[in-house]
Amino acid sequence: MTLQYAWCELRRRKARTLITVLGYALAVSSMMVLVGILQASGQSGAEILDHTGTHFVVFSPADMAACGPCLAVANSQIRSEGLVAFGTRANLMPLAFVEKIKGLPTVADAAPYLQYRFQDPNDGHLYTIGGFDPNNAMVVGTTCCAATDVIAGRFLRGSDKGQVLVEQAYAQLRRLKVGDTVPVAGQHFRVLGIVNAGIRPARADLYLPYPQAQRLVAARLPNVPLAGYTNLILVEVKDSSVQDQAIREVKSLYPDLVISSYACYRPAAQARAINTAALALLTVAIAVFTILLAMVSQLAVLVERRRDFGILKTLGFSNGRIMGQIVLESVLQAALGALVAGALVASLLPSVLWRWLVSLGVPASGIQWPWLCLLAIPLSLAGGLLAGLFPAFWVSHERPSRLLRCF
Amino acid sequence: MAEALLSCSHVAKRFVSRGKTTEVLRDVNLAVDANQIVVIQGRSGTGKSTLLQILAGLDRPTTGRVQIAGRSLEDLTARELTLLRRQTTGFIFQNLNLIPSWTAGQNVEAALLHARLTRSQRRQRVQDMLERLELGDRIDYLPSELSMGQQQRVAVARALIHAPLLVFADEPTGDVDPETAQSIVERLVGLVRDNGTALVVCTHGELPSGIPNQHYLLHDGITTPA
Repeated sequence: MTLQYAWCELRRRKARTLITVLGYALAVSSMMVLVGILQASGQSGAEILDHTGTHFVVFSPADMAACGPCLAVANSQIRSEGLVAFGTRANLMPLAFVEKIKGLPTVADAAPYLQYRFQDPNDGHLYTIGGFDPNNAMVVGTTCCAATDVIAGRFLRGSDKGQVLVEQAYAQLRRLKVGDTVPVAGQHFRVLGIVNAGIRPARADLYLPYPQAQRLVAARLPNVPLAGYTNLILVEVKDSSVQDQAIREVKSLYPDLVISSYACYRPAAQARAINTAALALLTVAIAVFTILLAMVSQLAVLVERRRDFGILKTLGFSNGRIMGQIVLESVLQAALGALVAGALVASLLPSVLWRWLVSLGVPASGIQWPWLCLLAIPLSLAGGLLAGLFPAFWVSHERPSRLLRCF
Repeated sequence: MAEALLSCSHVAKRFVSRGKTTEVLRDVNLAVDANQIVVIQGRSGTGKSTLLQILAGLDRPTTGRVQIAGRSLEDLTARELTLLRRQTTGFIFQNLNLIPSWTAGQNVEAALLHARLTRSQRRQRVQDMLERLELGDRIDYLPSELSMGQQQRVAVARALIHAPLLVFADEPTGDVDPETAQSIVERLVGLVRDNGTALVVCTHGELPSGIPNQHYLLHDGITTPA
């Protein structure tokens, strides 16, 4: 009979019920759209911020005491040449370090990088080469150079031989263009592409696949066992929020190594945290606003019906039963509102909403609409429950005589 | 001497509204025995409805004491008061107070909702009661579809359906013509006599003749036996 009475009452006040249900529907559908937009833009923003500055390089400077298994390398015969990192001479580190760092939980990937400074025998100018694995786009792309940095020609492939990528500034200085030949340590390489890698930590003047760089360096350092060593390790961290932790973990593994990183991951991590908090805050604010509106509507209905509840109390209805009755009516309206909201969003989604969101630049494909629709039901029911509780408590605890005096 | 079913002593009630105090009842004393019919007579605005609500446990007196079946109402918890209203008392309101969205049957059945009865037993009892009041064919009518006299009888049925020990009736014939009033009172009295129920009636006029009762006059907040 409780449900029957609730349904009778909702039908009796058709206009008010309709307005309340529409209120829930509008609020819930607005929440669904807003949360969807925030979720999509938050996701795309987070994807960018997650990987902003999330990389660093690890090396062992030559002027430091060589760390345990590191190898201090004597200068080549040409005094200005040598293994370098960040403009300083560097020791060689065992490749096992790379695997160890790669295994850290906060690290997405790590790769060896061979950087060597040569001197041109004709005019004496110095230039650096960087050897990397062109197939490892994740870690090489963020610390060294990426296919998106190519401004002429194309990017390296693992199978390329006798070809190099040239950094734009060096290409201008040496007046090089794609297809030209450039001498490197007595050998000639064809310019495959020109890149502008910006200020990445493992920037060099010429880039080539790791094995070829290794052969060039081996020619200068014939007694050094380059096969099991590298002089830079490129590291990509899982996301900006764990960058500090990753650095700490590497530092605890190899306290004597130097770690160089951009500090831009810090504002990125902060911005991400702010965005996440703003999303949560806005969602809560909408939910609170919806519940308050529903509560006001529910209160208005109960003010009209206080006399009815006075009658029920006179007939021996307990406070709990009256509370249950009021809350049930509120939840019923909220459930109807959720259904209308679901239907509203589902019918508008393919036609109007989708195009509108895309025109606003919202990545609508990232919105989990089915989940949002499902979420709307418990959300709306919880709203109805909360909206009904306070008015129900108020009315059910009034004396019958006070309720009966209300017209 | 047997204890009265309902008694009240030195009951007073004051309302304070917008800083003004109105003393509605000053010193009410009365007793109602089981099966007895008591009429409280007084002019409009003398506090009859307020007194009836205090006696039925729907309101609390400012001072004084009300006892039903040997239990003081002021000592009862909210839960005990609910049980009292559910099992021991019935109430017929001056303006009937039927729930407009419920049918006549549902309005009467509401008083049985907490009884240990199945739905079909409840429905049967409601049907029987409405038939006794010549409303058997109006069970599915909404109050708005019934005449004033028929609504009055639905209110009587609702007050008596759960066989209470004590029924309070506030101006039960207030809005009907003398002939209908006579008919309603006769039916009400017949039912309370059959059930062994005591009846307390408040009225500003005279009850239809031929009904033996104990009479009180309420004037200036004080009751006096007539």
